[in-house]
Formats: sequence, structure tokens, C-alpha cells
Amino acid sequence: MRREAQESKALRKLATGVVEVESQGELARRRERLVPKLAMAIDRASRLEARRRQIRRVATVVALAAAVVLIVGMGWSAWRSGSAPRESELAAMRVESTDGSVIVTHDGREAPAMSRALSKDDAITTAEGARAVVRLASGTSLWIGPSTQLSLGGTTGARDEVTLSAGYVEATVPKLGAEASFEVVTPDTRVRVHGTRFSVRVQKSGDGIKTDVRVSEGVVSVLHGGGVAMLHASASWSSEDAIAERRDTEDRDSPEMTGEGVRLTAEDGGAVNDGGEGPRPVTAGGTPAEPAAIASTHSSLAEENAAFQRAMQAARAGQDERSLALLNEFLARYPRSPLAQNARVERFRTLARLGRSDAASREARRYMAEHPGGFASDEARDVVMPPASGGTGGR
Amino acid sequence: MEEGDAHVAGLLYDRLLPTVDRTIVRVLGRREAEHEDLVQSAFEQIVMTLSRRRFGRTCSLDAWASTLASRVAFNVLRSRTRERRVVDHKADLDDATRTRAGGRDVEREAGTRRQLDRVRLHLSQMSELRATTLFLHDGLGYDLAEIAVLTGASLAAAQSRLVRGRRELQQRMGEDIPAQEDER
Repeated sequence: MRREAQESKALRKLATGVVEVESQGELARRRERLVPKLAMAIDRASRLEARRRQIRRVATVVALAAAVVLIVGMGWSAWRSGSAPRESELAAMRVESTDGSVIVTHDGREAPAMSRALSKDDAITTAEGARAVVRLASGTSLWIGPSTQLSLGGTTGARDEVTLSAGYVEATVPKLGAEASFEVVTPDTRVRVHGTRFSVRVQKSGDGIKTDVRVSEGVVSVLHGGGVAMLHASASWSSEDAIAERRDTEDRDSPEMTGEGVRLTAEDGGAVNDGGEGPRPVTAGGTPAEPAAIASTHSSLAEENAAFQRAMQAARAGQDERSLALLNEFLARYPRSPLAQNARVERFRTLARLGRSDAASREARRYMAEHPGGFASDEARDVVMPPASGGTGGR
Repeated sequence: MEEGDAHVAGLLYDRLLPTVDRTIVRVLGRREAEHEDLVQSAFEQIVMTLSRRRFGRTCSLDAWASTLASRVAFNVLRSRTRERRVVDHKADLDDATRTRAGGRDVEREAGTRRQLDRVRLHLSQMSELRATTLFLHDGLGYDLAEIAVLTGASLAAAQSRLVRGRRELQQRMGEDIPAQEDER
């Protein structure tokens, strides 16, 4: 304790000891030497501080700008998230409006459909003269006509599918993502779409039914009888016509008409058709061919020829747009056709004639990729990289 | 601007020189050859801290000046300790001469002087913050709250530094006694 007091005392003595006073002359001389240096130090410090203040101001402005950007970003994000419920609201399938008697069948129970939410596998039935508007998860709007039976089965993820058993539905499909699609399935047809406006009608035709598709906007692919038809705006398609056309083609390409590869008569020892259904094609070996096999080995080639010829005729008539549509349809239906290479060549030629140089270039590149060393490679290369005009020579 | 600076510099110098000068002399024990450089260095630090507004007007300007001056002086002591010349041999020689010439009073004065030199030596070997806190509190008599402001620490930290500083100085001085007895 005493020691501690000693240390404190020593410290006190250290701090309060008498300090020898300097002479006035020495003090004055020191003042003369130090004050200018001190003035310089003040000047230096004030400059430094001014610079620091300037940096701070710039930093503040930058921080404020960043804060504004952040706030705007957060606001936008909040607005987006705020609008999300509306989207999810829209995303929920529901009956938006009805006119007349519209019944929704849910889990086997029927109930009036007025403004009610829908779920997967629900069925909507409209009475004669009744109508309904339904919105699907993807935002697709369905206008359901009178006397219609529609079920919402298979609405999963990015794929909406409705089954139209009878009646009329008109669909307005928003632009869907690459993986998304909307399909209307009828008893004999599947209509797939990636963003357009079209209608599908299913009705009785004789003993069976037929499906009519009409496209208002965009492009719709129709899958029917193992083939695909691409329908553009204002185009219509009927399963009845497609069946009739196929029958015509089959008749034209049948062995009886062409005499190629098959025989029909019993006198030659070949199989004879029975059942009064008309002649059934048989193979050269006399074995009756399965209908599916027939379709793939004989009638498809004739169809391909006819389809390609139609496109060529349109091109010769100067109808390049129509020719292009027919070529598109051809390539969609017969991507592996022996004429596919010709169709691709004709497609980039047609696009070039129409002045769509970018599309023509893309198509030509695709042609070169799919048919390296193809017969029109040089022409395709010229479309991709047009030769320099003026004959200056060299690159 | 330069004239303004010179005027301000003059005012500041006149206002704070006594405090700065005294503090440096007390910490180092005498006015040395480099005294003017140390005064200038202390004033530069005062100007710098004032321009950066680190002097928050919560303590007196004199206290602020003496804190900075003591730090400058302790730094000099510390560097000398590293060079092992904290005790000026010339001064020791002078003390011995005085002792032979002047008798008991002079001897006592020389003893006191040696003790103060030992305190300076130990303070210079302690951490800067501990030494400064101890010197400001026990030497210059500032209270802890003021020291906390002067050293930019919390009150608890200032108190802790003071307690630990006292203990360390006591221990160091205690270790000196046997050595002194051996010398005798």
C-alpha cells in the first residue's frame, strides 16, 4: 500500500515538478521559428480536410444515388411481389362468367359453376344456349360454347390440357414459354398450341364425330392420324376432311392404281380382301400388310410428293408466302422425308426471295448443319455470307 | 489564407505552448536538444486533430494538448528505451559531480532525480495507453471520465488501464529495489 502511494507520489512529482523557465529571448526566437511551421501545418491540415470533405460529399452523393436505386428496386420488387397474388389469383383455375345453365362436376358431384374455383379433373358442362368463360392457370382463357362437355384433366406444371368431348371451345392463349404448351384433346385429335387464339369444335358427323379447328392468331399444330398439320392464322382444319383426303391419297397410291409392289387379286395367289371393306393392300410376297405399316411405307411418300409439289406450284405461281407456309407444313409433317433436304433448300430460297435475309440466313445455316456437303451447300453459303459485290476480289 | 493561418497559428501557439512545453519537459525530465522538434510535433498533432474535429469540446483544450504532448514525449522515451539510453549518462555524471560538491541535499536531489528517471523508464516500457492513462490520472490529476474522452476509450476501459498500469508500475519499481541494493 505504501509502495503504491510511493509510485503515485513519484508520478505526481514527475508531472508537477518545477520546470525551468526559458529566457524571453529564447522563447521569442522559438516562436519565430515554430509559428510559420505551425501555420503551414494548419494550411496543410485544412487542405487535407477540405479534400476529405469533398470525398465525403462525393461518397454521400454516391451513397444517396445507390440508396435511391435500392429503394426504387425494392419498390419495384415489392410492387412485383404485390402483384404476385394477383397473378396467383389469375393462376387459379376458375369460372369467370357464365350465361345460362353451366354445371361443374367436382369429385362426381355437380354444382352450378357461377364464379367458382376449379381444380384438376373438374368437368364443365354447358346446356343448350348456355356459355361460360374459364381461365386456366397459365392465363389461357376458354370461351365455352353451348352444349359443350369439357374436362380440365392433365393440367400440370407448364402444360395445360383440356379434353373436349363435345361442343365448342374457343381458346385465347397468352405467349407461353418454350417448355409450356396448351392442348385441346378431342376424341380423335390433339390440338397443341404455344400462344395463339383458336377454336375447336367437336360434333357428330354421320355415325362418328368430327373435330373442326379454326385459328384466329398465331400457329397451331394439329396431331391427327399420326400426322401433324400446322395451321396458321385464318386457317381451318377438319378431321373429316383430313380423313377424306387420306383416303383419296391411299386410293391414288394403292397398288391397284400404281401397280407397284403389291397385287390384289386371288388369281395371282395373293391374299384376297374379305369382309367387303374394299381392297386391302398386300405385299409382294402375298402377306397382307398391317394398315399402320401401309400408311408408313406407301401412302406417306405419295403424300410427301403431293405436299411438296403443292409448295413448288405455289412458288412457281409467285405465291411465296403460301409456298413458305406449305414448306413449313411439309417439314413439320415429314421431317425425315427424302424430300426434306429439297424442302429446306426451297425454304431458304423462298425466305431470301421474300427479303427476310436473317431468316433465310438462319435456314441456310441449319441446312448446312443438317446436310453438310448437300447439293445446295454453295448456294446456302452464299445466303449466309453474300459474296462481295463489285468484283473487287479477295476478302 | 496564409496570413489567416499565421494569425491562427500565433494564437494557438501562445495559448498552448506553456502546456505543451511543460508536459514534454516533465515526461522527459529536461529540455533537450530536440525539444523544439517535439514541441512542433505536438502542435502538428494538435492541429491535425482539431481540423479533423477529433477534439470534441467535451474536455478542455489544455487537457487535450497535454494528452497529445505527453504521447509525443512518451513515444520519444519509448524509442530511447529501445536504444537503451533513457537515462542520460551526461546527466548522471552531472549528478555525481554535484553530489561530491554539495553534500546531503544535493545527494537527496540526485536520488529523487534517479527515482523519477526510473519512473520514466518504466512508463516508457509500458503500453502507450496504460502509461498515458497513468500519467494523466496520477500525474496531471485528470479524472477518469476526462481521460476516457481524451484517449477515446470507454470509462471502464480507462479505469481498467489505470488499475493495470498502477499494478504494472508498482511491480516494475519493486523489481528495481533489489537491483539497487546489489549496486550498493
